[in-house]
Order: sequence, then C-alpha cells, then structure tokens
Amino acid sequence: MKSTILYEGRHQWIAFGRDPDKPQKIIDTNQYMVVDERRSLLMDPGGIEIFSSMLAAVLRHTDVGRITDLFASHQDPDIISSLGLWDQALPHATLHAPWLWEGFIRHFGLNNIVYNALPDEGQTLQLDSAELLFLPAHYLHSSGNFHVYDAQAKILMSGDVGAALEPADAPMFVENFAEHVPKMELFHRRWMPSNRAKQVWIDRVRQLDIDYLAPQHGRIFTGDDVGRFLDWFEALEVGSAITAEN
Amino acid sequence: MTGVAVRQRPFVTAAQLAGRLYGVLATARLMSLSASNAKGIAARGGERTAGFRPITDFITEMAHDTIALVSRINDVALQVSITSVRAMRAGAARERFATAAAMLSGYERETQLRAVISGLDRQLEECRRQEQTAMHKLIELFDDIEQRTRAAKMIVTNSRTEASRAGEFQTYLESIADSVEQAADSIRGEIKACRSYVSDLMEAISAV
Repeated sequence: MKSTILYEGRHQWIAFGRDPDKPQKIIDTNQYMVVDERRSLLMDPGGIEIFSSMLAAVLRHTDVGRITDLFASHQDPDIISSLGLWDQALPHATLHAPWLWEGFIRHFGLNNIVYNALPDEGQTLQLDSAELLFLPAHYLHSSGNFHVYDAQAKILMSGDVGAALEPADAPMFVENFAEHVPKMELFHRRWMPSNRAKQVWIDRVRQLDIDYLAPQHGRIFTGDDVGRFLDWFEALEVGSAITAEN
Repeated sequence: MTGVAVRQRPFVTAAQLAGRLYGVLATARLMSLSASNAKGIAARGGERTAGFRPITDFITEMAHDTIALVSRINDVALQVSITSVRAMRAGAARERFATAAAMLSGYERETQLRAVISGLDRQLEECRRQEQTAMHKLIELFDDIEQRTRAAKMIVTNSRTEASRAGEFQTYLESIADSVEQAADSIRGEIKACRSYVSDLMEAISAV
C-alpha cells in the first residue's frame, strides 16, 4: 500500500491508499494517520480485506503500541469493518466514532478497544502536540458523521465529501480540477442525501483554514482546489435518487 | 461444481446438533405427559394399580432427567458453536497478521506483530482445549441419556406385567407402556443421529 506524507511538523499526517493487493471488486479507499510523539490516530482504517496491507503500511511509520486512537467517520464497512482485527492488535486503544452508530459498529467486534461516543456537536482530541477537531458532518452521507480537522497542519480529513470513483492506480492529488469533476459528480449526487446538510457543512468548513481536503476515496484537493471544490459542491443538487423517483 | 467436498465448519455442525436436540426434548416432554396420565390412572385404580405407582415415578423422573440432560447438552453444543466461531475468527485474524508480518519482513517492527500472532496462537490453543473438553462432556451426557432409555425399556416390560394385573385399567396402562416404549425408541434414534453430529464435530475440530 502506498503511503504519502501530507504534513511534517511536530506531528505527521500520512495518507495510505492505492493498494495493489486489494481485491478488484471492492472500492479503493484512503486511510489517514496522525503520528505524534507518543500517540497516533488512525482515521477510517478501512475494511477487513485491506487490513494486512494497511497494518504493514502503518507499522512502517510508527510502533503498534503508539497507535492509541482510532477514528471512524461513520459506520460503513469500507470505513471500519476491520475493527475486530484492530481490536486484536491494539487492545488498549480508543475508538472515536459517532454516538449514533455505537451499537452498530460494535457488530464488527469490539472486545478490548474503548468506544468514545462522539456527541453530535463534535469534540476535540489532544494527542501530544496535535490538537484535532472532530467536526460534525451529519448526513454527509451518514446520519451520524464526522470529519477531522487539524488547524496546525491545515488538513481536513473529509470522509466521503470530495470522494471520487476512479481506478486504484489514480494519482493521490487532484491535478486538474475541471477534469476531476466528472469523477465525483455521480458520487456526490447519489450518496449525499441532503442539500440543507450540505450547505450547513459548507458554511462551517468555509470558516476553516485548509491546505488539504483529504477524502476517503479518490484524490486529495490542495491549495485553490479546496475552494473550487467547495464552490462546486455548493452548486450541486444532491439526493439524486429522490429526484429520479419524482 | 468442482466435485471437491467442502468440509462443514464446526460451528454449523454444533448448531445443527443443538437444533436436533429439540426433537429429543419434545419426546421427553411427551414421556413426562404419559407418566402424569399413568399417575392419574394409578391413583384411581387403588390396589389393582398399586404396582404401577413406582413405575410412573420412575418414568416421571426419567423424563425430567432427560429434559435436564438435553438442556445441558444444548448448553454445551452452543458453547462449542461459540468457541468454534471464536477459533475461526482468531484463525482468520492470525492469517491476516501473518500476511502483514510477511509484508514487513526485514523491518524491525515485524517483531511487534509476532507478539500478536503468538497471542492469537494461544487463543486458538485455548479454543481447541475448550472444544475437546466440551466434546468429551457431550459424549458423557449422551451416554447418560442412553443409559436411561435402556432402563426405560426394562420398565416398559415391568409396566406390561403390572398392566395385566390391573383389571379394567389394563388397556390404559398398556397404551401408556406403549407410548413410553415409543418415546424411548424415538429418543434412542435421535441420540444416534446426534452422536453422528458429535463424530462430525470431532473430525471437523481435529481437522482445523
């Protein structure tokens, strides 16, 4: 699995993805990790199928004992179905995930890891030097959904917002925004259910200083493309299945 | 179709065994009902049916024991199923950790995964030990039930003798003896089928 360092300061942000060993029919995913001095946070660690590659990739950057925190933006299998295996590897870790999904996520197997149920309004997590904000992103697309913002690194891990459907060997970063749009249009129109929720999120995110908008599928937006993405998303009508029905 | 037989997972066989036990339970309940009927007749028959009373007591006791044994077997079978699922999950996890360790070959942190793999090996070993203990317990419990069904056959013979002395109650008591005999035969048949699940389980567990 490919790993890309997004930020290197007192702590590090690493993106994982483009796994060549991944079974073909499962959707390609990006995983992210913040490595701090003694503590690390693994975000949306992925499904069972990519667990081995993911674990090996992660341990190239930090010790297993230093992965103290996990985050699941929502309950989907490509986000967190590997939980039962992480539970074996990290018996003393804490999983930060929406309160709404606790009873559901526990079905993936949670015997050792502690579940920190994130309240709807969000929460902050202090690692060593890194302070991370679990930012509400409800209904984007899941009814209980969070993103992770790091003001110091200026990175927003945006879950399914900004996702694109494309081959597993696609570049990690958006190179030409206009060319990238068709790859994300269907995803956002169909998976995102609510125009109102979308606008609330956009208004919230516009207040943040963001260098990288890092989605869970597809490519990472950098620099001016972050603003271009927000403008594009704001103008997009979502909830397409309802429109199609009517 | 490849023609290659796929071995059934032990937790499926254990669950099938637990399901099959319901048949034994139903029969044992029927036996208990027959014993209650016999008790009623024995009470009404006075002196003529006095010899039948200890027999009905025995049948009642046997039915209750069988129900209790089946319930214990059910618990043990369920435990085998749970342990077997746990073993399967630990085995799958072990496989994935071993793959990750192979990917980290040459990296210092590979040893961190070896510790997790050792932990899973211990879990698997513990599961095997629990499964073996449970299998022996199952065999023991089935032996107990079979022993009771053999005793029931002897009691049926005694019942028929007592029924022949019961005058106007003879027909009732004979029909009760018949139903107890049928129940004992049926339980024996079910136990035979259950034992074949136990053999399959032993085989499946030792093959994992």
